[in-house]
Amino acid sequence: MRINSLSLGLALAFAACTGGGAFAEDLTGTLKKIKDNGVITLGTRESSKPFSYIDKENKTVGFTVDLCNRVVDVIRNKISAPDLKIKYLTTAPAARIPLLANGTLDMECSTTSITLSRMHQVAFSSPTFVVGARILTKVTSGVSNWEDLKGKIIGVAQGTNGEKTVKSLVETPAYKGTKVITFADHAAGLLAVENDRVDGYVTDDIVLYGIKAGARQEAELKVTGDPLTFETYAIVIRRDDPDFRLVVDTALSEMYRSGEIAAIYKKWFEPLGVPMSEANVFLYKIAGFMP
Amino acid sequence: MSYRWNWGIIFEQPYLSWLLQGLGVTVALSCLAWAIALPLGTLVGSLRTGPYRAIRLLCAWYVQAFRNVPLIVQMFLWFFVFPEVVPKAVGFFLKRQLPIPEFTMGCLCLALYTSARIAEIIRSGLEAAGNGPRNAALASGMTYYQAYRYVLLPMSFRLTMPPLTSEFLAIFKNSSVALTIGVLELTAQSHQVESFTFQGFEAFTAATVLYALISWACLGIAGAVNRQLSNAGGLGTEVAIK
Amino acid sequence: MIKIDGVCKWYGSHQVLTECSASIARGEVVVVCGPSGSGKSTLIKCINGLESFQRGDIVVDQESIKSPKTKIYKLRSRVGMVFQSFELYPHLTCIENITLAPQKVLKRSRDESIDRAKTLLKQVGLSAHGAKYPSQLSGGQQQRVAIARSLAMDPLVMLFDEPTSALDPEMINEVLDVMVDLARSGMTMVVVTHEMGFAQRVGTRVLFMDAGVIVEDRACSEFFDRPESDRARAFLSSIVRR
Repeated sequence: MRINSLSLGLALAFAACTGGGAFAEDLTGTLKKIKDNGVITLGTRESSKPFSYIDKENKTVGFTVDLCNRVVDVIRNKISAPDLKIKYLTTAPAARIPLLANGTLDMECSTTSITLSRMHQVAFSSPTFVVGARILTKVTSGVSNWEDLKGKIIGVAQGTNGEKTVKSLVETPAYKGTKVITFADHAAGLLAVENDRVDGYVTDDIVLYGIKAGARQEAELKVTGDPLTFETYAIVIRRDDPDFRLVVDTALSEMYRSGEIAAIYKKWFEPLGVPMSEANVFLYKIAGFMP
Repeated sequence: MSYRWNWGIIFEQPYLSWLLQGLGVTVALSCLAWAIALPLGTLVGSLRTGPYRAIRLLCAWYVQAFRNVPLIVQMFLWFFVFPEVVPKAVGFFLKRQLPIPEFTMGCLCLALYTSARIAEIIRSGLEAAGNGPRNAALASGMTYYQAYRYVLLPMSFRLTMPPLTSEFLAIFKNSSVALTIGVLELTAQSHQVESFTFQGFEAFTAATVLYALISWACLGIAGAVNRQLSNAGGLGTEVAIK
Repeated sequence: MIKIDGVCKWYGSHQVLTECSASIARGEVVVVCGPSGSGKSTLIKCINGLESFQRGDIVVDQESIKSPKTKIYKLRSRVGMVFQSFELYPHLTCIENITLAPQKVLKRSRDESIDRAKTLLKQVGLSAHGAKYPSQLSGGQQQRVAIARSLAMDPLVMLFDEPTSALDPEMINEVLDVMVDLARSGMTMVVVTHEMGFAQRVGTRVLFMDAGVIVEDRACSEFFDRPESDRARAFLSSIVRR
């Protein structure tokens, strides 16, 4: 009897271990929350073209938004909730973390860069896009790379890594006499280039292409220079939620591996005349992890 | 709430020095702007009650223009539009040769905006002081300048200490608008810390505490000035009420 | 000393002074009386240019108020004026009130001005109050300080604009006594007042005004004994009845 009851107990325990994982009740963290609520909330931007913005029909669209929509498709499947709804919430940069932390947002889908400091607070998905800090300048300015900006005036976007890098660059002896002006937004940076207030405006190259495409005198502007720094955008999620993160990363990897990413990329960046950069080609190869 | 608090972040480098630099810029910007705004506002407010109709109208126009256009719009106009409408050489100087252009233009803009508000306060003080002291001063042979300098403005300043104090407090708060033209003052720096660390609550709390400290310091200064003035008589209640 | 010649003044279309003419000799004490709104205050304010007028002229010590050569500030410094509601400078002590114009307008030294102020305060019976602020004094005391303040400029003539009508009855006499002393010392005075007792004690002439017109210009005794016009009779009887 003793032996029998022991083996029965072992058998039950084994069954619990193997079979239980398939049941929805065992969902944790964000997955459980969105399953219970029937809705997932994506934090987006008002005008981060072409990644995350509100278009003329007042719909939230963009490259990162498309990626997130595909991720949500996978989540629907994973948690067997075909009716899971998506809610878009336009979020100012300073509000994204509190809203993520208090559960208002489940994913932040815009142009947020991965940094180690930020990882103390949040988690990031696999990278979604690689950018480099480059220069927007007038075609006639004679500026084609960084050394052409020696002794000139450089505009930078406030609060970007590019700002810090440019500021430490101009402190090197070779750049003595070079001035740096910070701008609170890209519209101001563009205006400064157009009005000859600065000789070059530095921020993420893809952003520069977007600014150039929106400028009145697009043909007079160019994006130039070697990338000074590399940054990688990613989807922001809550920290300490490994199950959710695994689902998000799995969905991204599948897109990268299947080549679906190429179509989405083309949809958003071809109109800007920006072919897929070498860095991004490698990114999607590397991050397209095997199942 | 899954926010991970880390109060230590605001004492870590480089974030601590960013915040302190921001504090320095806020104080310098505000105090410089005040140093321009107070005499300018006093002048404009005085001329608004002065004997010349054309100048009164001109000053009224000045006050309306600078007081009623939102500060953020004025910042934009001064920094981006103004250099484009002045003669080319001046515009070139403003854009390319002016040292720390965003600070200089931001300070000027804040000063003009505040001077218009001070002008209104001073004018109300001069009106509250009434025609009596003006007539008494003029009747004793003082010029308009002397009447304002020795009688009417000292009275006006005493009567308007409370609104002047709040204007002094407000200039520190208003200085944060300069971040829109790229001045890295306290608010901009706290945004910067947020953006780099995602510890926004800590960064904005630090900024709040620093603003509160500035306010307390200002109230202290205003209180000391007020005591100094009321030691020297203050105003009789009948005048204050009249 | 003062010659008023056909002065006319309008506020818009409303005429407040009509063809007012009178002359006042050195040492005279002229009492201006009449019902309220008759233009008395306006007329004496025209004498030192605090009120402008459209037609006519006023000559003070051979200088025409209207002449572009006249420095109105210089002229006013030689014409003292005492107001109905005292108009002491509330932020200054009595001594400072008295010494301000002598120092700033006449460029007297501080010490000289203070010595003179102390003498004058003694003259008006307020030696002990020099360091006080106006708000610490009674109305009668304030008016006496105001008289001392005007006298400090060593004026050729003193204008009084209803100097006792804002005072409580028990304080009227202390002010009138000072004025009587002043009149007896030979000061030329033009006094707008309803205090007929004062007029009878020291007045040399009365200007009776009604509706902007100088109706009677007579020696004091004649005016009180035999007023010529009905309006003056009505006015006098109303004053007596009160």
